[in-house]
Amino acid sequence: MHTLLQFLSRIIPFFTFLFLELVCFILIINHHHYQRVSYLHSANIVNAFFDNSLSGIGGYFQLSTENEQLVNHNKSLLQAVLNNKVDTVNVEESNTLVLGLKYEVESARVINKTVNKQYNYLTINKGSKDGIKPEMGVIAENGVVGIIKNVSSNFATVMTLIHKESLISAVMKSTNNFGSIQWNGVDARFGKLKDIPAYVNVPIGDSIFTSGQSSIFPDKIFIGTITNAIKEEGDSFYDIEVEFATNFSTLKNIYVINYKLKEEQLKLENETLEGVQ
Amino acid sequence: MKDNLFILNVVRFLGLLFLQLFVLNEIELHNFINPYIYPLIILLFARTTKPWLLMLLAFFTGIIVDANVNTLGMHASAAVFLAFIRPAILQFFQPRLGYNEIEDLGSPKLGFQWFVAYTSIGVLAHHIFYFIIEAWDFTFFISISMRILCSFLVSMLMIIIYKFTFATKRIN
Repeated sequence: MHTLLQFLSRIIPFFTFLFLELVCFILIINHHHYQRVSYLHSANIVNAFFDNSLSGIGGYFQLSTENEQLVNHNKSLLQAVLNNKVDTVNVEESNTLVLGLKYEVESARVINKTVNKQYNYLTINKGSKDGIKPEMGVIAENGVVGIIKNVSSNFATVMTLIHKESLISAVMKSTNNFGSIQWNGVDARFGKLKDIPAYVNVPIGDSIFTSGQSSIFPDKIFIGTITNAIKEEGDSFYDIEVEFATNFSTLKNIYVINYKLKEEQLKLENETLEGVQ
Repeated sequence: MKDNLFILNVVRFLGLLFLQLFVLNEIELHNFINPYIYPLIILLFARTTKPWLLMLLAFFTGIIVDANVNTLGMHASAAVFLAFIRPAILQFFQPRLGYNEIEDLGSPKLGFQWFVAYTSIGVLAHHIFYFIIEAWDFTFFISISMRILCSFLVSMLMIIIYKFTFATKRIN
């Protein structure tokens, strides 16, 4: 009996360790690979309440109301610009008799953020009550910011461009080549443009825009400029460094884009795929 | 005495967690500098705490930090790891005459040198574990190493500043 107890006391810590680590790894994997609704993220009400009140102190009383007016003004302008752009640029689309606005814009304030981790998120002060849903695009006045990840009733988290798993479809302005934007994992100011074939001429300083191929961002939203392009001997793709237009460390006001026809588009695309198989 | 120790541990838990969430997590010096002071909660927790209880406590501490920076599970796993190896570190740094019923590991009786040696090994182990989990692969070996080293140095600096600021003389 005594030896059994001794044996147990030696073995229990190790199994506690294994068990808890197992729980942790399940959490990590779930959190990073699925758009699950989890309650332990910074959009959670308790966390967000503190962040909200803390960032409120920085709002300088009257300045914050003044800001709000400006932001709302911007919001309506942006809404007009986005819809206008789509309808005039793509003539075929404007002929499809789309009634009303295709894109809706909701403004929000950043109340918590990280910029120096490997997985950087923002928390914003708008949530499902304001019509925000996961996988909506987020932009700021200078350019693309990221994609909505988790939503609670009053808050939402944004997976930013400076997130190791962020991948956004992009297009080069001068050559119209498609690629994808990823973060370089080190510096919050720079990312990589991937999948540009080596036979293309890549001018330094060229602008990168969203491609409009996903149902998240409209096309022609500024992402950044090319600062460096290297072609290794024998490689079939370029190594392109892109400086993001958005300054993540000073980010304060953002706009969430709601593409109202997203469900219709996705449904059609899925039906087409199923028909092929 | 026992009550005092309990209160000390609770206050330390809340205080360090506050420092971590609202001060250190807000620091944006450089991508390589992510100081973490919360391992101190686990390292300094009452010496004779049952290992499984300490690991459970570490798990919840980690989850709170994770929830704040959206890295669900990562800090928790590093904290549990630290709690798991704490008995071994304590064993290794045992003073010549043993711990002599010293319960509070932040006690000045153990000496400043002992404190720095003990916490730095613990914090280093935590940082190595955490930054490898965070990177999830070994392809960025140099950047992981730089991150571990830079963050470790700043974390230790914070811990030493903390030690000087909140020395626990009154308890003993």
